[in-house]
Amino acid sequence: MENSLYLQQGVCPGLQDMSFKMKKIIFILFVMSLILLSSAFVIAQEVSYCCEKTKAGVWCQDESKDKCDPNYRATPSSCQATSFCRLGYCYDSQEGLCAENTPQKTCEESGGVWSDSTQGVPPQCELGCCVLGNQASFVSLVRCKKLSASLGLSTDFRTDVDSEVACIALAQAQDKGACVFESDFQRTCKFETRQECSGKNATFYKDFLCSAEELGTNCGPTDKTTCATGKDEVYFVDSCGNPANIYDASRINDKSYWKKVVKKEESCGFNSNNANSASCGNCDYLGGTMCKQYNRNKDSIRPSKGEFICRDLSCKNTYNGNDYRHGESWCVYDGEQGNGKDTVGSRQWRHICVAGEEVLEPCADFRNEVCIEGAIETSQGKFSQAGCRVNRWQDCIAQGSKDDCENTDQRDCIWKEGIRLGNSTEGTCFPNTTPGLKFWDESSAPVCGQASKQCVVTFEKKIGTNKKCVDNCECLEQSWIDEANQVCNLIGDCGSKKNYIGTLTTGGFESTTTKKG
Amino acid sequence: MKRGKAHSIGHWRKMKRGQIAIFAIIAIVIVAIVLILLLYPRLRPTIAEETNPEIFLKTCVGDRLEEGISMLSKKGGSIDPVYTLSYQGEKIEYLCYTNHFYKTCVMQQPLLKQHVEYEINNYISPKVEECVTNLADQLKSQGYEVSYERPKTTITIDSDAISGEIDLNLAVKKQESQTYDKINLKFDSDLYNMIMIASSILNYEARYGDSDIWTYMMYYPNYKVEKFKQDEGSKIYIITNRDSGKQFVFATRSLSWPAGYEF
Repeated sequence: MENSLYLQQGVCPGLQDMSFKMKKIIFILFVMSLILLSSAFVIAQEVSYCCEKTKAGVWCQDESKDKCDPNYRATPSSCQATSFCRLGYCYDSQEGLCAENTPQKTCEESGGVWSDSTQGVPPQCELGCCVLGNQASFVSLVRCKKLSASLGLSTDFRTDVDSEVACIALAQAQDKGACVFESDFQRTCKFETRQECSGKNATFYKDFLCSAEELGTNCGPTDKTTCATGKDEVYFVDSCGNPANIYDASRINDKSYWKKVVKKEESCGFNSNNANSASCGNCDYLGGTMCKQYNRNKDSIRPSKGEFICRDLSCKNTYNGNDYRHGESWCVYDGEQGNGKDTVGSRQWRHICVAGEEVLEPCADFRNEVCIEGAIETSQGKFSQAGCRVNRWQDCIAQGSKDDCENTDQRDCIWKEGIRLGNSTEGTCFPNTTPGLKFWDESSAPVCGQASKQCVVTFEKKIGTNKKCVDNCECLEQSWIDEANQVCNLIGDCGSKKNYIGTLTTGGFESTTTKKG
Repeated sequence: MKRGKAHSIGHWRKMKRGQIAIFAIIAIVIVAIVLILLLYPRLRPTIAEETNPEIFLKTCVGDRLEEGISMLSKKGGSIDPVYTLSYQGEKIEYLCYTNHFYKTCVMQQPLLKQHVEYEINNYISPKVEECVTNLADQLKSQGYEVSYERPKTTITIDSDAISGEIDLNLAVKKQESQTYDKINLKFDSDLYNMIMIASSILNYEARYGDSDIWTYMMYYPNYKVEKFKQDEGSKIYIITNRDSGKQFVFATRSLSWPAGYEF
């Protein structure tokens, strides 16, 4: 009886198309260089410096000493541990803005005032509600003063308002009306807030329009319309140039419509966004329309009065062929994705529809981020929302059970029953979205090498008979080789795999059979 | 009675003549004042419009300023950026950077607006000097005596314009003298708004490691904000004014992740 051993190997060193011997040499060289590098790294770790400024001109980076600018400080420790690279707030007294994560020297050289972030937010960076006429901004006091001055308003800064939403609500709740005054021996009017009117020698009529006959001003109705700053809607304009009520062609000759302010919810087409409506200017930005000057190339209909219309901001026939509403976002993939099927070089994309334009946002390269998508139910149907978030694949292979593997609170992995890698018996945990690798350099070799496996097949030959496989015979079957390549594919850009434009690289996987005895 | 009447008629006539004389004098004075007011500017040796210092300098400096803004807007706010990322053939400055993985960035230009003002100032100052020299030469060729100091330019970026204040103590003399201590130039620009959006994005990058472009586009309908993630976690941000098409481009590297498995 004669026993012979065959060594069946499935090797996936990466996607390079190289001979096995060559790869072996490279692998040995790589391992050696890795050892050398790691020892060098240990040495480098010991002499890593915090450069206050590098020769390349970057502030506060951990680098080797030779990269530090000699005109600035450097110390052999991490920047986190140094006093000169401690991060804080940099206050811009001119604009009233605060920049975060700024080193002291960077701030001072730029002309700012630095405060240590460990002391909390400095008072000058604390935000409050700045009321600017019929608008508001959640900013610092100095910023508020600057904005107020630029608009010719007195500063109205409210420290008791502690959120942006409350601040905006405060602005909307302001009294508005006709501010009537004498100018050039004429009784004229300006439509503004009580605050804006208070500084003048004028009388304020809350909720009245300047065109109201009762006020006896020189302002009257017109058939002109306009877009008002900070507003979504199309407004009628009176003869003095003041905005009146929301444009409603059916009420142009209605005296009562030119008398007092009519609320948005009581105006024409309130429950609709009035996209391309010729007669109603009750636009809704969040609903997908906005006041714009009529443009025959962009608007399907001309307004019956005036030159302004509620423009439709939705996106038609987008990259995936679907229509989306203004503000919607969705995911687009470079071919197959998830379940370990991501192709080499592919990444995920978030598409956004804003103001009628489809804007693309690539998620992080090497599939370090994945695009996730959900939908909100609205009265007008589903509203899609998508975002790029970190791909949590790093500890997939370390999971030994299906439950741990598929715990989506912790990680983004899939359990492959029956596939064995390392000591696993029942199955193996792999990344759901396989990470991309720099397959063109050596860094991918040790990663892909994890999926390489060998199997010893035993043959027995009795006298007078042909040799017969007695142990691990399945390793000689094509299915074993296919599974070996599948494992390569599942851990990353390894093995024989297609790239995102559909080209298959076969050189990344090798199967060899060697007779041992 | 008769004599008395004749006396009163004569007196009345005298008075009437006197009044006419007064009215005539007043009329002459008014006409003279009107003529002086109308003709005075022509009588004075005024500077021709093409050599009016403000108009001349605005025209002369304008192209250079436009060129400078266009250059620095594509490079993160610097004419000659220091630490950059190559993107579509352009070197774009990192305004917030860390060379580490998994860490948020360190702010590199905390006062971005002032930095851009400084850069524009440096870029146009030589041109301002050249323009002032050309202006002086032109005025001299028209027979004016001209004196001025070396111009000192201060650039300010405002919400709707870029203002330049040229301090040069220019004195122009031909019969009468005119002085211009400072010349103010104003150019329409929306650079301020784009810088403010960029500063806000940088704060998000420094605090959280990323920012959401959707939010910015929803808040500022007139601006398109794009983010392109590059290798090794760098990002390119492009802010575009939807009406003018003008852009502000900058790079960041914050909270980035390495490719593949780490050993």
